Amino acid sequence: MIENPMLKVDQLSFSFQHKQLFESLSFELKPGDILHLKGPNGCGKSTLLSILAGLRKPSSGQVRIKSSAANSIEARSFIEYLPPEKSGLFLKMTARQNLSFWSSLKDRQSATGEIDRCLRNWGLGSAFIKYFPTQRFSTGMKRRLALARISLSQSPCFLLDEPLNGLDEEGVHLFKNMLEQHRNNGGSAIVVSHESQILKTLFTDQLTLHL
Amino acid sequence: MNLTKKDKKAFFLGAGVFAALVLVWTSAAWLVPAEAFQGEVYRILYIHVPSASCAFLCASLLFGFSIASLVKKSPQAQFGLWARASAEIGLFFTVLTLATGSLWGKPTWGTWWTWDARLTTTFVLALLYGAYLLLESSMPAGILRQKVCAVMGVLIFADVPIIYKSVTWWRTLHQPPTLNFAGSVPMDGPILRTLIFSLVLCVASCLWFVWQRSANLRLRLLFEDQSFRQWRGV
Amino acid sequence: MKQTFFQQLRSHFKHGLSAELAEPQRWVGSFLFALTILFLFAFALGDLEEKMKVQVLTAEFFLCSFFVLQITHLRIFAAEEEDKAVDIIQSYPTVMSTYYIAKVLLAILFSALIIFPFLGLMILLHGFPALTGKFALIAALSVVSLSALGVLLSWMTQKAFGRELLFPLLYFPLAVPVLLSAVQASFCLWGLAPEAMFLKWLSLLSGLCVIYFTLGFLLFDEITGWE
Repeated sequence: MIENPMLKVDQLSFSFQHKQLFESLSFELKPGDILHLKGPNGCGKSTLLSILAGLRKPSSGQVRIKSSAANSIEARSFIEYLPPEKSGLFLKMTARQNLSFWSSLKDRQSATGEIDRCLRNWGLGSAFIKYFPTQRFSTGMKRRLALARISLSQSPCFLLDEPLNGLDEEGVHLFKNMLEQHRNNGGSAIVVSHESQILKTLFTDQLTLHL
Repeated sequence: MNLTKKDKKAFFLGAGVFAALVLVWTSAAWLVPAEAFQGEVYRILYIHVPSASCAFLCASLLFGFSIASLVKKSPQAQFGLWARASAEIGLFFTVLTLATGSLWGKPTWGTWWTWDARLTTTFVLALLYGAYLLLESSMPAGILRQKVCAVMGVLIFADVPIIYKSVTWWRTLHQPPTLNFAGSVPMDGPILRTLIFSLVLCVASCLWFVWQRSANLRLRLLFEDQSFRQWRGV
Repeated sequence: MKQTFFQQLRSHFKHGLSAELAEPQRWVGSFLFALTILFLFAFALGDLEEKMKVQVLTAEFFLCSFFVLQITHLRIFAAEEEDKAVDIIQSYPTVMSTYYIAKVLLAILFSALIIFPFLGLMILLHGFPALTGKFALIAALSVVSLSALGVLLSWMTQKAFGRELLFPLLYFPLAVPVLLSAVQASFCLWGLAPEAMFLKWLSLLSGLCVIYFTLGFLLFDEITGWE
């Protein structure tokens, strides 16, 4: 047992409409761990991540993030969640407005300079990107902006579902750098991805769910 | 047919209540004297008033089970089943109230329907029950559905005091409450006694219906679960 | 530093305001819809007899307001639903009641921006004698109750199938007491109902305002969070 784990899952089970997705799942994540969550389609990877993010209630078991229950406000201040497919953006608003709102909801008020720097780091620094609504972005650009939101927050635990969706080679490279830096800073992450070869060097552990 | 002890208990209880109800309604139809001003048509009162009481009782049950559902968060969604049963039976009694009210209204007021405050708000209660059941069937099963329906149950109950108070707040075509706990009751002995018996037995039958319907819903869930497990070979 | 209740409320309100202003066609569209209903009523009813005019116009105003607000409240969370931002909000350390209050305030603000100009048009085009403080109070209380109710129901029906049909079926029965008391209170102003009843109707309307807002505030947290 790890002392002061970042995330602790204890005997977690979930069933939905007569389908048992997983049963008695237990694992821990310590600072610096990057866990690769894998399995066939429909085995419950996205569901598990949404439970850890406090969006769904498990059938039984417990999830604790830094000793707080997963759906508590305290726990939510430690995590950043990226949903699969969609990027969680306000499509009628600009990239800057999006990042400004999300950072205002967490403990920090990011200055405009910091937001601009973050956008530039993710290759989103052009005037077009700053001043036009995000509905005009491509899928890859939206994904980059979502990852920019996550990196800006500096939360210690990332829950990322298919983060590489729509990203080009440069985007993948930027993501890998972000994840590596996050790990080196003592952060941890759970990543759902079918592209394990690309991120192989970053993962410290893996968890496979079965049908 | 193999019946468990619980099934037999439920059966005999229900049979007893309905037998008593039939007796009371038979005496209401044949034995109790006619009312001085309304004549024979008043006899529908013995169904109308108890149905109205049951319709509002079901709203209270719905509220109680909704609050329990929000507070308790049971994984088997037990309270959700009770709440749904209350809404279904409540809808039945509300429709019965409106139908018997119309049958009474035509000879008494000269019209099948009028947009009087109490009639309108009772009609709204029927719509609310219907909306609740529609909401419940429109959402995928799970905790969110339980919670959302529980909130809807609380909102419906917020409407009930308005309906109940409507007769005293507004001047309406509908007569004042027949039974009240302050002041005298404007009814003769045999009529009042029969009405009270009818009311008590109707409430008992309403509770029996809710009990049986929720058991029915629970059985259906278990059956679906068993069928699925069998299909999957678990 | 943890955000206080009011800081979170301010964040949600400020951002929500920007999101609504970024999509003005939604609210302008609602105003145009209100005008369309106004014209339809005018064509359907034709020239009204003087003694019926005030009664019909009162009903027309509140009915139009109801239909318009029902459509706009259905889409109050549209900005969050488009790209699943609603999931991110629920995964953030935010007290969901602040989110509810912010949305209700926005709904009241934009509903008032539609309803009061619409009322002005009715006064100009039909000679509706509604230029009184009391009527404005009735209209304002109706907007507040319907907004509190609409925001709550909009969130509740997010995951329901056939939401566009289901929402009005939930909204209408719960809005009827609001409409009834608003119309009857207005009738008291025009002498169509006993003047002594005005305060009773107004207190019922205020009561419904308080009930719907309080229930929404208390219960919103229950229907967010764990699914």
